Amino acid sequence: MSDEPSISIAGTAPKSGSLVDKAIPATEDVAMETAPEPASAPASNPQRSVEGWVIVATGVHEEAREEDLRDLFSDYGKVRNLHLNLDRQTGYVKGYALIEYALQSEAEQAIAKASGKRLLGKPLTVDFAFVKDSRNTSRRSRAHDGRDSRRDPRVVSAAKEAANEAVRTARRHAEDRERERSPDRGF
Amino acid sequence: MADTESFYIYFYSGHKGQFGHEFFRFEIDEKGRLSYANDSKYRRDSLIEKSLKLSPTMLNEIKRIVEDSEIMSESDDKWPPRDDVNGRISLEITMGKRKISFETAKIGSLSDIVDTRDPEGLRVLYYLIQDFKCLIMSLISLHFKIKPIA
Repeated sequence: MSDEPSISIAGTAPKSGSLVDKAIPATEDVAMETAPEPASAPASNPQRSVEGWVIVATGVHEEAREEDLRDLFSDYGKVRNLHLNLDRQTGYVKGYALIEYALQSEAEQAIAKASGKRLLGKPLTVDFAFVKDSRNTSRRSRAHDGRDSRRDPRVVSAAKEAANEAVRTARRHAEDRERERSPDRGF
Repeated sequence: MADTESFYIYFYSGHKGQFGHEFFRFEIDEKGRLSYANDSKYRRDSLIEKSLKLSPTMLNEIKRIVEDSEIMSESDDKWPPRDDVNGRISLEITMGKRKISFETAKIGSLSDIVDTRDPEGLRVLYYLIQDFKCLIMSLISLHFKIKPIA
């Protein structure tokens, strides 16, 4: 199992007859043409995840199948994880897929080469899912951002902005958090 | 849907019951920072709190999901008030100049909303929450969890 890439599909899969019937013409479409316009630049500061590099594909056709995505993205490296989540109301694909590779080079290849490709006629946008967080702190320690950053003048303005935002958010939801931290007080 | 427009989502769903105060909360700001918290007293004492930063492409997809849901044109005027026993839902979204701030009782299943005064609006809320939860759980589990060895 540990070697087997896992697939997670949320909701109820629409494995209806119509979908299966479309599988045959769909395979033709899966052989994609590259879109004429160049893809937009990928996120410049990707963040590694615990087990590898996660990319996101958007513009995924609602009738795309896992196999379509897996076939396409296996060209750039071994797909370690694939989440093709479904629209909970319609049961069709929501429109995005999350794909994990072990290596950054595989993820970069996928972003460079799959961006703009058409899957069932719809062009894909492909990019890293996560980027490096300049304030790499947990919510709890965020209140200290301003104080800490004074040591480094280069990050003061960014940190100030960040701290202001943290304060704004913290104020707005202080009530909720207070309740969360004090289970006995109820809500 | 300009990339630079202000954007913010706050979602809370929780109740106080047999296992204490249990809740699921996340927020996403316009820079892509996703903060997530989940607490249940069932077989686990500790609060799970995670934070990560989404790429602009990922953030745009979330904006698209919000737009497509048409939640921004709903109103909670006719929704059931928050229920302190069975739980409450809070949802706050800012998209450009539009802003919503909803609070209602927890929706256990679609059958809960049939007899309300705004089943259509609550259905929009219900499915948007389902889609959000599904996405957030995928993001969190892919980013933080080590695949269990089975």
